[in-house]
Order: sequence, then C-alpha cells, then structure tokens
Amino acid sequence: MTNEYDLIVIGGGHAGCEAALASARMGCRTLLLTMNPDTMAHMPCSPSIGGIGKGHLVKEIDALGGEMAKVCDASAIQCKRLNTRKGPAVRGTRTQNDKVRYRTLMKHTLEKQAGLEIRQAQVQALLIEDSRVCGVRDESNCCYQAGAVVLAGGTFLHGMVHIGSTRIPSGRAGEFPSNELPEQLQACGFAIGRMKTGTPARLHRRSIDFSLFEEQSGDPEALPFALTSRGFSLPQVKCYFGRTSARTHEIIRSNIHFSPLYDGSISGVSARYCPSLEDKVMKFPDREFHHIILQPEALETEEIYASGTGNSLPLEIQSAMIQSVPGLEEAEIIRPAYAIEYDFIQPTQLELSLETKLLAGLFLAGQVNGTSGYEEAAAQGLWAGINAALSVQKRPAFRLDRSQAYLGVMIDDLVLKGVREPYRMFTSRAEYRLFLREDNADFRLLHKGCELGLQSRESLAALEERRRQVEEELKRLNSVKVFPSEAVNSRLAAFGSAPLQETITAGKLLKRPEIAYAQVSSLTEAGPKLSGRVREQVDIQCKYEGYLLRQEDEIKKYKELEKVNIPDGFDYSRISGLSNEMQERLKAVTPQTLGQASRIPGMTPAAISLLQVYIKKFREEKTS
Amino acid sequence: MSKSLNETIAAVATPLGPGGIGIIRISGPESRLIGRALFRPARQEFSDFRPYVLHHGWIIEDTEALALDEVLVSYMPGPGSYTGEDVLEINCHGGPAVVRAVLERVLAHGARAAEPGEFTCRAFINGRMDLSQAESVAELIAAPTESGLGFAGRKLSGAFSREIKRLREQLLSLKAAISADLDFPDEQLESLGPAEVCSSIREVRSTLLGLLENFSRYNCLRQGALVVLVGRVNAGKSSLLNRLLGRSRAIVTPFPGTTRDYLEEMVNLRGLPVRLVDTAGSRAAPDEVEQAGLKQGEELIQAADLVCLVVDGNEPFEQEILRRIPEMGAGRVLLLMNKADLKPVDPDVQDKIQARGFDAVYVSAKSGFGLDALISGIRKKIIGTEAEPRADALVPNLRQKNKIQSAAQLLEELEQDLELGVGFDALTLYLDEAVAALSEITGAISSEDVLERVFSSFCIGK
Repeated sequence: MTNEYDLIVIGGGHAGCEAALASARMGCRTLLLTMNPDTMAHMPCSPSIGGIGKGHLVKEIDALGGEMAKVCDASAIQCKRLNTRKGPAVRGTRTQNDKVRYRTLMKHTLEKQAGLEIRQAQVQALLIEDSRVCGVRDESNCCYQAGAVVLAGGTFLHGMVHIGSTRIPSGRAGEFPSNELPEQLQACGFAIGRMKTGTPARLHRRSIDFSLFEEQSGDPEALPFALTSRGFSLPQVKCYFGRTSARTHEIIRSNIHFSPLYDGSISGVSARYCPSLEDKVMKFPDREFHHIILQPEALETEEIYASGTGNSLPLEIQSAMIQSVPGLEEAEIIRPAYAIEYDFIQPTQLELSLETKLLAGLFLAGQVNGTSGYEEAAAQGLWAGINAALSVQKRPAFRLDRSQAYLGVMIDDLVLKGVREPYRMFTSRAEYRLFLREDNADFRLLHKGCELGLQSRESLAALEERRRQVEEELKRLNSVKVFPSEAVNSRLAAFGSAPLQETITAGKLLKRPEIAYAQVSSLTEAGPKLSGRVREQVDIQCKYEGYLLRQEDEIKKYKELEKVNIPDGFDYSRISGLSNEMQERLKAVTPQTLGQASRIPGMTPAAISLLQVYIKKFREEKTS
Repeated sequence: MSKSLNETIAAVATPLGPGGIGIIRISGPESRLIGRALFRPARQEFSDFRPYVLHHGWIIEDTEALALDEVLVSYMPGPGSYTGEDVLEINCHGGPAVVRAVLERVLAHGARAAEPGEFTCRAFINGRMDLSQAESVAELIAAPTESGLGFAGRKLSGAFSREIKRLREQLLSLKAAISADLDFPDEQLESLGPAEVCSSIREVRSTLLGLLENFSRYNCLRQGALVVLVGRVNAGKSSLLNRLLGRSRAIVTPFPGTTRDYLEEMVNLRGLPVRLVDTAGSRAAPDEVEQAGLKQGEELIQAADLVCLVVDGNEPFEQEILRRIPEMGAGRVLLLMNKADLKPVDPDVQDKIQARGFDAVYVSAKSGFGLDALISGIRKKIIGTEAEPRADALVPNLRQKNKIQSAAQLLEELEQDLELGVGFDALTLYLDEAVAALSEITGAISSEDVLERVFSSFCIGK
C-alpha cells in the first residue's frame, strides 16, 4: 500500500467533499481523511440549503463544476424562491433537504470518483519540512505524503459542546474533537481565535400540535439549483411557522444565569445574524415574540428541526421553554439544542488562494476560516481544492474578484478584512450585486470551470448557444415596434400598465417593471421559441440595462485601483503619516494591490493617497 | 500633492505687509532642531523648547551671532499640532524685510519653502481635519468680506460637516433597513414599503436642496458677483459707477461716448463683494475702437450675475427697455432710471414698468438721490432677498455644491424609479452613489457600516 498522493484533504464535511472532488477531477491523486465516513457531508444544523446570498454561492459552485447543487436538488423535499418581488439580484433559491439522502448521495459521488480515495483516520499532525507541508500523520502513526494538504476541520478543532453547565469535548454532539492539530498550528505561529455556534432542538413529530402552526409549502414553479437537474424527484413536504409566547420569554429571563453564554463560560464569538433564543430575548426585550419554524429533517425520520429554539440552557429549562410555545406543549425532545465552541484561524493569515502564508502547501477551507454555513464552506472547499491542485500542478492560482462572483467577494473579505464573528454571505456584502445574480451564474463562471477541467465542453457549448439566443432576442425586441392601437392599450390596461401614447419598441415596453416578457410577446408578432432560462435573461437584461451600465462604471473604477500593484518588499514603516496600528495591519495582510489595501478596515482615503505617493517614491528609488 | 511628507516645510503664515507681527510657521520632523539652531533665548536657564510655551529671545545670524530680530517662539509637537507634525512658530516684530530675512535663515537650515496649501494638506493627510474643514481654511484666507468670513468660520468649526454627516447617516440607516429587508426575508421585519422609503428620501433631498439654495444665494457673498452697467451713451453709467465707488474712477464728461472700452472696479455693497463693470455706451455708427468695446460688453452681459440697464429718465426710453430687458432676461436685469432728480418720472410710465414685472430703481448719479435704494436693489436681485444672510446658514462651496447637487439628483431619480415599481436591489445603487457623493464632501468612507447597522437595529436570525 503506497501512501503517496498529490493532495490530501482533512475532513469530509461540505468543504472537504468539494475540495476532494475538484482535486480528483483536475487529475490529482487525492486522499480524503475523515474521522467517520458515515457523517461525511452531514448537515449538522438546519436541513436546508441556499437562501439569499447563500443560494448565489450554490449556483456559482454549480457553474464552476462543483457538486453541492446537484446533490442538493436530488435530496430536496421543498424548494422556494425568496424575494421574488424585490428584484432579480436579490432572488434566492432555498431548498429543504432530506439530510440523510444528502450525505449518502454526496458520499456515494465521492466513492465513485476516479482518483479519489476515502479513508477513516484521525489526523494528529501535519508533516512539515522547511516551512512546507508535505503530508500528515494519523492516530496510529501512519504517515501519508502529498504535495499539498487542504485542512477542512469544521468545528472539530478543540470543539467543546455546551448544554447548560455541562461541557463535553466534541467536534459535534457525539463526535470526537481534534485537539492535537490546533496545538501544532499554534506552535507553528498561527494566530488562533475562538468562535461559538449552536443548533436548535429536534422534536418528535407525533408530539407537535401542527394545527397551531401556519403551513408553508414550496413554490411549484421554483427551479432547481443545478444546470443539469431536471426538477425534483422526491416527495415535497411542508414547513410550519409558529411563535414564542410571553411565557417563553419569561422562562428565559428568569433562568438566564444558567446559560453558559451569560455566565461567562463561553468565550467564543457568536454571529449576530444567528443569535440563540436567549440572546434574542435578552437583546431585543421589546419584541413580543420570535419565530419558530418547524422543518422535517428527512423523509424517513420523525425528527423535526425546531428552528428558532437554538440555546445552550440546561435540558430541563430547554424543555420548559420549548413547551411554552403554542403547539409544542407536549413536545418530546429527541436531541437537545446545544452550543459549540471551536478554534478558527484568522483568515488574514491566508493568501487569496487560501494557502497559508506561514506554511506553503497548506490550504484552509470552511469553518476553520471563521465562516458559517454549508454553502460558504462548500464554496471555499471548491476554491481551496482547485488552488491546491493548481499548486501541485505548478499552474497559476485561480482567482475571482469582487465583480465576478460572490465567491470572489467572500474570499476577498476573509483574507483582507478578517472575521470578528462567523462570516455568512449576504447580498449586501457584494458591491456589484446587480451583476452577481443567481440567474446568470453560468454566464459568469461556466467558462472558468471549463478552463479548469471541471465543466464539460458540451455545457459550455450549450451556454454559448443560450448567450447567442439572448443577444439575438434582445436585438429583435429593440427593432420590433408596438403601436398605440386600441387593442394594444386595452391589453396593457389588463396587465395593469399605462396605455401607449406613441409607437415604441418592444424592448422599451419590456423595460416597464410591471410588464413581463410573455406579455410583450403577446403584443408582438411571434418570436423564436425560447427556453425559460433564456426568456428570464432577456427580461432581466432588458429591464436592468441602465442600472447594469451604471454598475459597470463602478466596476471600472474598482479595477483601476486593483491595477496599482504594491511592490514586493514595500516597507510600510517608512510611511510616517500612517499610525503604527495601521502599519502593522498592512504588514500582516500584505495586500498585493492598492485596491486590496483600500479594503483593509481602518484605511481612509487620505491613507490611500499617502500609500500611493510612497509606492511611487519606492519605484523611483528602485529605478534610479 | 506628490511632495514628500518627510521634508520640513516653512512659510510666512501672515500676509506680507508693513507693521504688526509676522509669523513664520515651520512644520515637519526637523522643525525643532531648526528652531534650536536659530534661537538665542532671553532666559539663561533655557535648555530646549517646551511644548505650548512662548519662548522669548532673538533670531541670530549663524556666524556673527548677530540678532536679526527679537522674537517669541512656540513649539507644538505632533500629533497635537495644526498639521499633526512637529510645528514651530516664530513671531517676529519687524516689517516685511525682517520677516523675509528670518524665513531665509530657516530655509538655509534645511527647511523647504511650503507650497500653497501644503500645511493644510498635511493637516488633512495626518487626520487633523476632514476634507471640508481643509477646504474652508483656504476659503477663510481667500474670503474677501466679513459676511463671507462668517460662513467659512462656521464650516471650520464643523457645523457643515456635521450636517452632511447627519444626512449621510440618514441615507445609511435607510440602506440598512432595505438591506435587512432584502437579506432576511424570513424575519418578517416590519416590512419596508415604497411609501416609507419615499418619505425618508424626500426629507433628505429637501435638506440638500436647501443647502443648494444657500449656495446660490450666498455664494456671491464669498466669490463676489459680476454686475455690468449697460445703456445708451451719456445715460450716466460712469457717474453711477463713481457714485457706488464713492470716488471718481471713470472719467466723466458731458460728451457722449467718453467711456470707449470698459472699466472694472471691486466694490463692497454692504458686505456683498461686487465686480462692477462699466461698459461703453451704445449708439449708432460707432468707430472701430468702440466696436471692439461693444463686443466685449456683449460678452460681459452674458457672464454677468446682474445687468443694470441705465436709462436717462428724461429721454424717451420705452422702446429701448421693451426691447432690451426681455432680450437679456428680466430676472437678471435691474432698470436704473437715472437723472430722477431733474424731473420725476411720469407715474404712467412707472405703472407700465411695474405691470411688466421689471425691477426698477429711481436714482440720480449726480445728487446721490436713491443710492441706498440702488444698493438694496442690487443686493436683492443678486442674493434674492434684501435681508442679511442668516448667521447660521450653512453654505457649501463650489466643489461641495456639485456633490450635493449630484446626491440630490440621484435621490430624485430614486424617487421616480420607486414610483415606477423598480426592485429594491437596483434602487440601492442610487443610495450608494448618493452616500458616496456626501462622503466625498467630508472625506469619510465606510465599508461594513451597513451590516453593522442592520445587526444593531434589527433582531435577525433563525
């Protein structure tokens, strides 16, 4: 048995799975080491994937040739399209998933992948030579060699589960933590921080009075994530909306001293956008209620995920608290809610490729970088897997910038700004979000996936055909005229749109927000028969043309600053006008361009112009 | 400014003129050492400059230890100084020649002569003032009359910056509310309707429009307004110019056509600085010199903030004013009925003028009759009101005005698109740009601002 590989992935979660698949598909002999193959691709928290910003990431993963979208569609038991009335850029797809099927399907995909081996092992140490990682050693002292290692350890590094005052060292509830790796990393000089996350209780279906909850079904017209999916094959289920009661808040307030979040025993930073119920009640005392959403965990289980009940109170208090929610009076708790603290590596210690600055050949992805969420982890896994493979193959690193993808926004944010709380994707983080839509992820990224060898030539050809159809149809609409006839105006009135005063092009009519592509078609001579995807593109590109042009100007400005390179060896301590703190931050992050420097927290426009002056001076001194 | 910040710079900080005190300001890492090399203390026990203390002594020539001037020297170490760097100021007693000689000694010891505005630029770069404060320092120095000084002074104290920041905050809060709505659709936050967005946009926009109005009303108080006197030959334009100046500047003769090109004077009309221009009078069959003068006059009329059409109240003028005033635009023309002392103007004619909405003043250049009314009339036409500008009015400068204008414009477009039913995802584009325009006024930027706001204002999360 040979123990030599091109690439090793530590961890079989969402980041690890994407990293291993990308690496193997790019031709690297890949080994994935996991503590437990049964929990590979497990969804330890909500049984749902996507949403606003997150859905964008899933679509991008799919366009680049990742796996998440496909497995997600195949295990989806409900699909919704959110924000349908707030504009195309902020529409997000979200599925409820059968989490058992999800992990089984993903594991099976990895098992079937040529060039990829899976092995159960607990990695104890990285093998390091001359500041370069060249392999790993497991608990039985077995060593594995590789050109690069992707560490995707999730919440396992020094993981500690809290339920009331009970503390259990665990990677997740019921699983072993990894305590040796973080200690080695710290000894190597990595700055390690602590974060906290949590998960709500799981209840038994038969103990819930669903009549006191509001049903919510999926959208029948919602489209699947993956370009190759043809819809959803599993039975579709419902979710249920409910509310906490005054009594719930009362129980929390009078027992708050039992919460490890409030007695000081949890030091990890938690996410403000995903507070536990005790946090919500304490920090927003004016709110009369908070939402509870019941979501089935899988088709073949009676477990119900009680979203909104996340807390770290002792079991008996949790129980009383949950039973104070109308409809949950008899609730049987199968798994209690818990909080978990874990180590993360401040991502400013990474290059944009996600390779660490301290140890060549070591790439980090997922929650170890201080992020949260399956989608964020998978996207980083894909990015790290691609870049680790490229580095082994001695090819240039793969990059996407902030104007190309949410993936680019996330990596740029992580590496330049670092994180102060678990990082989650929001559309507000993307300056150029009108371009970065779910619907055009394939137009933006599929050719990149093809260049990397992760997408087929056929999908690229199909995309180019769609692009051609969109362009032609836009051209056609801009030449076809609509006349202000009585017939046309009475149709427009029926659509809730103002009558025409003069003859206009069909393209101009389509610009009206209330008018859809199909309605314009009904007023003109028949056009070509087009697929739903193409029609949607035509509609959006036509309506948003002006805004997109506007945003394009902004992108040009952004790229100008990105073009100014900060020379190697540039000495920040020479800039007398910069505070010591700012100098230190710049030295640590080592931005490669002025644009990157401008996004480091604390940089002011004055500091940027100062930097510009000194870069010029530095260059002049070098040339003279 | 591409000049190095490591260099020590020096300049005379007070206007060069006879008498009073001349201050030489030195800023940069070498300023204290330069001071030490030049200064001979009056007190024996002096060992070094102490911060924020006046040191009495003399500035000496290097070799002969000859005293150039008796001085007071103060030392302000950075970052607590005006520029944020080490600053040394030498207060000289002497006239311009001595001040210049002391500056030369300072330069000989390694300081570089400062570029115009370089002290302020350093103060800005070192974070001692924001961009709008830095600009108003330049205005303070350039402001020609007392009223102008008031506005500049207020901006320096930050009232203007505060107002812009407040408006920027309002837009950011709105953006946060929209972002929360877009990024957290499940939270069922108090849903933000187009009507709410519209009303907050309107509120900010009307404040911005108020600032723009202040600009057009008061900008002339700072910049000065161009007032052009036009009229037929011998209508008395030059005499009126002289009256306003209070002295004889134009050569006045009873012969028509004495002013053959044009004359320009600065005059302070109760705090309103005015460039007053007297043009050659118009008459039939002018010679070549006069033709050139008349052409210049036409250009001036185009550029003028106010045109004063001077007519001889004793001559028939109805045809002239009926033709010329609408031609030049009644809003920017003030009709001056000169020689009103000789014979009162026919009340019928007065009524006619009023009926057409022409503003008119009855004056006599010769006797000075109606001069107060004339000055009030000019001020009212230019500033839009005779009332003194409010002491607390916030007035943007030209650069700031342009930014405010574009912010107001963006908000107007936003409002229109909102009414059309365009999605929130696109509308935030306008908000971002409007915030950016306001940020450029004070030089402030923000990146995580919006998310910070979302998390502090809304209960988010499953």
